[in-house]
Amino acid sequence: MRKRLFVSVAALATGLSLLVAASFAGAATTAAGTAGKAGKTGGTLNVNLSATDFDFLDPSLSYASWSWQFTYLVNLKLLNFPDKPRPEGSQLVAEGADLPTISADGKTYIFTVKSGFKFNTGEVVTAQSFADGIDRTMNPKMQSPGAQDIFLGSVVGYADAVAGKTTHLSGVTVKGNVLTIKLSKADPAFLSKISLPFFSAIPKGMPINDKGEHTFASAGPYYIKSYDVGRQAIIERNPNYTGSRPHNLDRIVVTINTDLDQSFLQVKSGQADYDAGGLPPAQVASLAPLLGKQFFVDTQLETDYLALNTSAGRFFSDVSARKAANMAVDRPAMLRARGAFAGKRTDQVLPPGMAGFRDEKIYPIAGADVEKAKALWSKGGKITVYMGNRGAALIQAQVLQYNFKQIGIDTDIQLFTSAVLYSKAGTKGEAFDIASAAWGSDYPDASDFLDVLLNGQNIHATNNNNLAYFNQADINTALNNAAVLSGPARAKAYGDIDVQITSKYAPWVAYDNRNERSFFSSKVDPACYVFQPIYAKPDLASLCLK
Amino acid sequence: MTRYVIRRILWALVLFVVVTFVSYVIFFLIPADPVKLFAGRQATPEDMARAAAFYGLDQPFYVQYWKFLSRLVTHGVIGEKALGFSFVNRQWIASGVQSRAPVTASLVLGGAVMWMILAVPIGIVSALRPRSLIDRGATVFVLIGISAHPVFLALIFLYIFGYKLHMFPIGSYADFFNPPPGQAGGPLQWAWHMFLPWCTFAILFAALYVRMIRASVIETMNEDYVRTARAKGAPEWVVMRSHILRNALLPIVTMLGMDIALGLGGAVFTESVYSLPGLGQWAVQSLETFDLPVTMGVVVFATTAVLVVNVIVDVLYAVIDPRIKLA
Repeated sequence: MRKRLFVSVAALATGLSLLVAASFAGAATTAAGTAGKAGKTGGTLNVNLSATDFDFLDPSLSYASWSWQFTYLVNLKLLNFPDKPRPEGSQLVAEGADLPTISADGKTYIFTVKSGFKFNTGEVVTAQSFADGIDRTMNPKMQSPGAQDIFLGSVVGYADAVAGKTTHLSGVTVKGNVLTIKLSKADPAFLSKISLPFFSAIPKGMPINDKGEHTFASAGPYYIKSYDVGRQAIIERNPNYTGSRPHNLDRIVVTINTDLDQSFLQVKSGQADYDAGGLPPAQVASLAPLLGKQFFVDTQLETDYLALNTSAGRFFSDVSARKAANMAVDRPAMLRARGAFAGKRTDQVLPPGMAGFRDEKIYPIAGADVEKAKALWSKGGKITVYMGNRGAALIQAQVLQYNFKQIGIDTDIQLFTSAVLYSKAGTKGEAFDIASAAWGSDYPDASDFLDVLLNGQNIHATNNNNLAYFNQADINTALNNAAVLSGPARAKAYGDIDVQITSKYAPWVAYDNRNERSFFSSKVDPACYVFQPIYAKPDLASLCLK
Repeated sequence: MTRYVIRRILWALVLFVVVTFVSYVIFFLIPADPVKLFAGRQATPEDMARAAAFYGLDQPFYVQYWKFLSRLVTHGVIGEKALGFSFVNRQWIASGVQSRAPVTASLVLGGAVMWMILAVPIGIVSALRPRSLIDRGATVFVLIGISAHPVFLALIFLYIFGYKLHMFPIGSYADFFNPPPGQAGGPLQWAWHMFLPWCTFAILFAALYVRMIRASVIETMNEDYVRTARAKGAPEWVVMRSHILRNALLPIVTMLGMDIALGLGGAVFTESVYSLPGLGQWAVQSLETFDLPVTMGVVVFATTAVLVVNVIVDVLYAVIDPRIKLA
C-alpha cells in the first residue's frame, strides 16, 4: 500500500512538473517550423499534407496524385508539362531531351538527351540515366505500378522485362546521348506515357528495392533531402540544376498526416503556409473574400459520375431508364454536397480541358427535369445504389434517394469505404445498379477516360474500371479506331465518341468536374501562384514568399 | 503460485491467437482486393496476377495467417520483419510501431497523470463536502466530461487556446528525443505541444474517476476502523491520510493500470485531431486504405499491451489477496 501511495504521489509530482515545463515552453519558444525570408526567391515553405502520407517519393513507385505534386519538383523527364497554367501547361515540351524524331510508321522514337543537366550529387545526366529509369520501373522486383501494360506495353521487349526474363527492355537502346525507343505497334499517346514520373532519369546504381528509396539523387529543380515516413519530408533546391524550370524557394518542409481542421487553423495563423491535403469542406465558403489573394480555385481533369450498371438483367440495361436517370438527378444538389467552390456541373464523360471535349448540353445541369424523366420512364422499380460512406457521399445518397423517388423508383442505398466500393463494383456480376465513382486521368489523353472506362473489350472478371459494364459494339469499334489516330483528328474522334456515348447510350450520370481549392498563408506571394493543369495541383516550384 | 502464473500466461497466448485470428478473418471477409495497391488501378488481370504471386496474396487466408504467426515466432515480435510491411507504402510495420508507440505512450501516460491530478482532489473534496457547491460543481464537470466527445473538445481547445489566444501550438508533435531536422523538440517543447492533447484525453477519464473516488472515500469514511481511529482521538488529517485515503485509493490505483492499457481506444480521436503521429492515427488510416498489415501490427501491439498488463494485474492480485490463489 505504501508503494501505491508513493506511485500516486510521484505521478502527481510528475504531472505538476510537466505543467510547469509546459508553461515555460510556451513562453520561451515559437511553434515548430520557421517562416521563410521575404523576397521573390529563397525561404522555406511549410506545407502540411493532411490525412495522408506520400505513397512513395521513389520515381518508380510513386503513383498517388498528391505524391506527384511533389515528385514533379524533383524528377527530370525526357519531356514534361511546363510550370504554366492552361493551355501552355497542358502541352508537352522538351525537358531532359529535345523533342523526339518519330519514324513514319510511328514505331520508333529517337530522343537526343540535352547536355548540362546534373543530379544534385554532381553526377551528369545521360541517355543511360533515362534508360535506367525505364528498366528499373519495369523490373518485376520493383513491383511498380508503372509496369502496367497500359503504359509501356507497346515497347518491344515489354513482356520479357515484366516477366523477369531480362533486366533490360530490349526496345530501349542508348548510343551516346541518343535514346531510341522502339514500339511493337504505333501508340499515338506514347509521348504522354513516357512523360509519366515512372520514367524519369535516375542516378547510376539506384537500388532495386520494392519498398522504395526514401532519398535519392535527383536532376529536377529540387531533390529529397530527407523523408521520415509518416512524419516529415524536406525538399531542397538542387544546387546543380541548370534547366529553365522555376525554383524560387530554397526549401519545402512537408509535415505529414496533419488533421484538416487543425491544419486549416495553422495556415490561417501562419504556422503553416499551405495544406496539400485539401481544406475542411465547411470552411471553404469563408475563404471567398480571399479569392485570388490567398485562396485559389482551379478545375481538375476529373469527372464525378454515377455508373449505371448496363449488364443484362439489371435495371439500367434499358437505355430509357438510363436517360431518365440523367434527367432525374439534380446535379446542382449533388455538387452543393461537396461544399463551396467544389466544381463545375457537367453531363459528359470528358472533362473540359481535355483535348476533344466539346460542351453539348445533352442533359439538364441546372436541376432535375422530373417531367422529362417521367416521360422516359414511368414503370417505377427498385435500384441498389453503392455510395461512399464519408463526407459528401452521405448527403449525395440522400439527394439520389429523393431524385429517384420523384420518378417512382425506390432506392436501396448501400454505403462502403472507397476501397470496398471500387472492389465490389469492379467485380463482374455484382448485384448493383448504380455505383458512385470518380476518375482523373493518369496522363492527359481522352483515351485514358473513354477507353479505360467505357470500352467493353476491357471488361474482366474483377478489377474493372468500366463500372457501367458498358459494352456497345459500335462504340468499341469507334474507340479502337480513335486510338490509332493522332493530333487534331484524334481529339475530334474522342470528342465525338464522348457526345455519342452520352446522348445515345447514357451509361453514366456525369454530374461534376471537381475543382482544386488551395489556401495559402499570407506569407505566400499570390503573384507567383501557378496551377499546373496536368498534375491538377498548385505548382510548388513556382511559388515564392513575399 | 507458479502454476497460477503459467496458467495466466497460457490464457494470454490463447487470447492473443484468437484476437489476431478474428482480425485476420474480418479483413478477408471484406470484399476489397489489396493487389490493386501494388499493381495499379489500370492493371490487367495479368498485371494483378504477377503482383499477387510476388507478394503471396494469391494464397488462401489460413496460409497467409499461418505465415503471419510464423513470422512473429521466427523474427520475434519486435523484429523488423515480424509484422510484415504496409500494403500502401510497403514500409516495415515493426519500424512504424517503434516510432509511433512512444507518441501514443506520451499521450496516454501524460493523460493519466493529468486525469489523476484533476480527479483526486475534486473527488476527495466532493466526498468530504457532499451536496456542497463544490460537490455540485464536480457533478457538472462529470456530466460535461462524460458527454463531450474528444473530437469536439479538441477542436474547441485548438481554436481557443491555439488559434485565438496563441497559448499553445495548433496541433503537431514535438519529439522528446531526436526531433526531425528543423522541427521543435526536447522536453519543454514536448510538454508544450502535448498539453492540450493531455487535457482532451484526460477529461473523460477524470470525470469517471471523480465519481469513483468520491464514492470510494464516502464508503471508507463509514468503515468501523475509521470510527475507531476517531474515537481514539487521532487528528482528522491523520485519519484522512492513514485510514481513509490509503484504503479508498487502493481500488483506484488498480483501475488506473487497466485504464492506461485501454487508453489506446481514446487515443485514436485525440491523435487524429492534434495530428499526433501515434498508433491510433495510424490505425484509423490503415482501416480507410484497407492496409491489413498495419491494422494487424497495431492490433498485435495493443493486444500484447493489454494482455501483459492483465497478467501483471492478475499476478499482483494473487500476491495481495490470498483468496485469489485459492480460486
